[in-house]
Amino acid sequence: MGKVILTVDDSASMRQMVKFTLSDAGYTVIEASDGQDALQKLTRPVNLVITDLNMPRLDGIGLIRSLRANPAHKGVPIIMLTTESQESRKLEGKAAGATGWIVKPFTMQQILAVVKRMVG
Amino acid sequence: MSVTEITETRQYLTFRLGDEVFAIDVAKVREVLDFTTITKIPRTPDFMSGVINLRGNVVPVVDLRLCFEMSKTEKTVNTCIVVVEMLVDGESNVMGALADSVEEVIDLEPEHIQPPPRIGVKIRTDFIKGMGKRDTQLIMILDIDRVFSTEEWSAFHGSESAKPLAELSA
Amino acid sequence: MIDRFKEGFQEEARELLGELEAALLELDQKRDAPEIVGRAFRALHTIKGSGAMFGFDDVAAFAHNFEAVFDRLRKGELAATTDLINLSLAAGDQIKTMLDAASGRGPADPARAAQILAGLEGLAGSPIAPSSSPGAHAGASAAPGAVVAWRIHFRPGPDVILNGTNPLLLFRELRELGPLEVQLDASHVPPLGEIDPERCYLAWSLLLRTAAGRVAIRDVFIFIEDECEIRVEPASGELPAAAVLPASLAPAQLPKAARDSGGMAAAGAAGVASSIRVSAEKLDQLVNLVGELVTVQARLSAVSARRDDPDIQSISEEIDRLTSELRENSMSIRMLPLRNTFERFRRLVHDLGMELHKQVDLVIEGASTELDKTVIDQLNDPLVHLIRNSMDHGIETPEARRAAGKPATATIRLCAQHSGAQVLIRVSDDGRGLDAAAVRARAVEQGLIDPSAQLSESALFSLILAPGFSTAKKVTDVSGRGVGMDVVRRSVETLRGSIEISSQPGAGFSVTLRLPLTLAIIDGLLVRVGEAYFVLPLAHSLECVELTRQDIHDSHGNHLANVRGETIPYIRLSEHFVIERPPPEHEQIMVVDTEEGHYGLVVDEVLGNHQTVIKNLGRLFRDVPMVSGATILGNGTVALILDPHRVVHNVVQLISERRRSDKPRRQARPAGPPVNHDQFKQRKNSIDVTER
Repeated sequence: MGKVILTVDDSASMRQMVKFTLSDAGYTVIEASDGQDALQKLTRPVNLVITDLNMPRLDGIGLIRSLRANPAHKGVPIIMLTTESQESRKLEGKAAGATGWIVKPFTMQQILAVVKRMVG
Repeated sequence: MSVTEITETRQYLTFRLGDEVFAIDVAKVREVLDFTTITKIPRTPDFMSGVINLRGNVVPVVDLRLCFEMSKTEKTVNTCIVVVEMLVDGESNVMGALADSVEEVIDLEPEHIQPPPRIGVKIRTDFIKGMGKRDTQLIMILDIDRVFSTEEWSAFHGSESAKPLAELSA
Repeated sequence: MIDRFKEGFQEEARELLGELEAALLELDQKRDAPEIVGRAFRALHTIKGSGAMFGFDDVAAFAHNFEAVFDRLRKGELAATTDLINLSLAAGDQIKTMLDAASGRGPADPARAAQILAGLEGLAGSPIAPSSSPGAHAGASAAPGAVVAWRIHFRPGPDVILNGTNPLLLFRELRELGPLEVQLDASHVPPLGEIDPERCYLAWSLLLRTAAGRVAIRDVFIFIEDECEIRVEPASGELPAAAVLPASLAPAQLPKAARDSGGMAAAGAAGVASSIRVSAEKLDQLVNLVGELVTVQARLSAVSARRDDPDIQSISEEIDRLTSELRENSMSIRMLPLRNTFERFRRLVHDLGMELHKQVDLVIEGASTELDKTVIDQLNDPLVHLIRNSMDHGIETPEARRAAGKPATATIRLCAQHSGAQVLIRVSDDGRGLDAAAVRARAVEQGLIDPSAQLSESALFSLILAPGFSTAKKVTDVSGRGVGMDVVRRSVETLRGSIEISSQPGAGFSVTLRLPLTLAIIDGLLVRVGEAYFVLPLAHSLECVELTRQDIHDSHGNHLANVRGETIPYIRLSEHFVIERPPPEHEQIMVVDTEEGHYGLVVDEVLGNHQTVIKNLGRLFRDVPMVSGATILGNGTVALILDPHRVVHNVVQLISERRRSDKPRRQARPAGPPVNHDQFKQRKNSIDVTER
């Protein structure tokens, strides 16, 4: 079975692009449109979570905190997608338990490199 | 479009309207149907014969003879509907054209096609792409896109009022 | 490759701009609402982030600066002023222009962008931080140089594994840079009793030979460098240390949390996307196919009814049921709520209010009412015009309103509701209303009606739908640009809808558009004239009565029939359509409701209800009069779908033409005028209005 990655973003085009890139590299990708949606879809463990930070209902930081507080997910690598203007948010994300981050805009190669570092 | 654009050998479907032989590029022809029931649309010019049911699609049919100032098509055993597909203002459109009879598909070399003469033909020369020849028979190659272009069409619509008013008396 | 996502982004960005606009307009009403600011900020943020991803650099840069303002707003460093909101609306428009420019629709004006940004900057009170050069930290690689040996001391923080970092993968990544030797340092592992199994106590000493520089090495640890001890030093001539481990760690050496993150069953089943985007073209295709199926099904029913075979009948009934389910289903896919269309008008009302110095609240009701997408798409322009018209001509200035004893802030209501197979959309305002006398005077002046004409109020009001009709004394910039109410009428007619106008002088004005739910399928009555079949829309058909010889006799040659006490003028389709056939034994009058009132259409036979798929007549036949489409009957015959309003209109037009053309031939016609001209004359008043 392939590795399963959850991509969480309120931007459908972003999710599609992440999904396309990672599916192409052989990963199984599931999508969620915000933190709440992600928590609902995480009925089983996944190998990696890639999450945007600014989202309605439950934002990225909130999602990271919830995941780390849940024994089923606390060790899962979490990548947050940030923008260069969000230095403070990045630190907040790290403090909440994010494993790494990718700064937008990024290329497909970049996201693949980071995913490889996180899940092999 | 002009005859100078005809640079390669092409196949043409030939058909008759009265004594004249016309040709249409086979690439534009979708099929040839036997004459079938045509539903006339009320209060439209005579050259708009009506619509037919072509396998569940409604396809308009025109009387080419009337477009070319001949008399109305009289239905005979040979009467056919040539179904053409063409671009009208960039959109694909399927149309039917009545023909007195459909003859054959022929090859015409570009060198055997001459530009349409300016005078001496009965129909409007701007509807003709060129003149071909088979034995002694002249063949008029129709510019079908032109015949059915919207501009030409509005001109026909303009002539609608020429039709006599329907009598409203009992 | 990224191009395939560009389109998706464009679409999404437009939606986000809509959200931004809605948030801004809400903010305008409610200045101190952090959650609204948050919404605007998020929309901008996504536009910025995704824009940069998909190569819309100008959009991203612009949105970045725009976002910076909202960041300050969010932090309470700025207040939402009217100026700021208006400028932000302009900025949103600018982004839209940039998106349009990127897809080749009109150029974006960089000067305008700079101007808006300068304006925002002015409001922010200090220059907006320029965006730092974009670029990902991950994957950055240093220029290749000579192979150097590096000693790396790596002592992860206690929580790294818990936070998802797998040292094994880091080592693998390092190994991609060059040969790697790994040495474990377990000296910090506490006594067994004190071990917290989730914490990491291990450290490693690594020796890497690589041409990649220090930056590339540090980059591998970039996510954890804050919480780990990492030293990267040149290992000049250093020999491998004594206890060298193979560069791969046995899984057992890793805490369970990290190990378990691999090798799980796919969780894909858990997360099926709840909606997908489908191109409108595919939906149209689906509806077309279902339409054909409905046609074939009708044929099957007809065949099975003829044959007395219970097996075929039962199959036919089953297919009948499935077909109608399928039809309803596929139609419902095309149904969209009116919300987006309606919400867009908030901006229009806001902008026009500013321009005209009028205070207007837009109240939206029934936004969840669903309509066929094609109908919705064509509804925007007429609604824009109606709202403009209300704003411009209907609603008074605050002063005038106060003087009239009304609240200074006017209300425009935009509401939608279902009414059978139709949807009613009403635009109403509490403005000054229509002045019937002024409408009348104007109509007389324009030659639309006879000065002596007697008109009902609604007939009079419908005159404003005539081309070029305007009662406003002052032609303003807003609705005076030559687009009249006739545009509204034409659009609504194209949609097979109708318009009702009502007004109370001084109290308000209301226009109701009555539209079919869908353009693809019509509920109709099948009628026959000779061998020709026609379908009349059920929505316009009132009742069917016999045309008796007594009626014909009683009307003394006039085309009038008495239906339940109402005198109804009728039109013989056989005559008007020039259908030649032997005179039938019986005729029937189908009473239809048109904008001009009730008329009778005389046919040979009314065959019954017919739900049918509308086929258009093709581009070249689209301008034919009176016929709105065609349908194929069970036996393969083509039946034309009549537009009763246009049939009546056409007849009346012909008669008035005939009356105008003063030909002696006509006047010398033999006995008995066939039509009650007075009847038509009166009707004519309201009919002529709709002439182009």
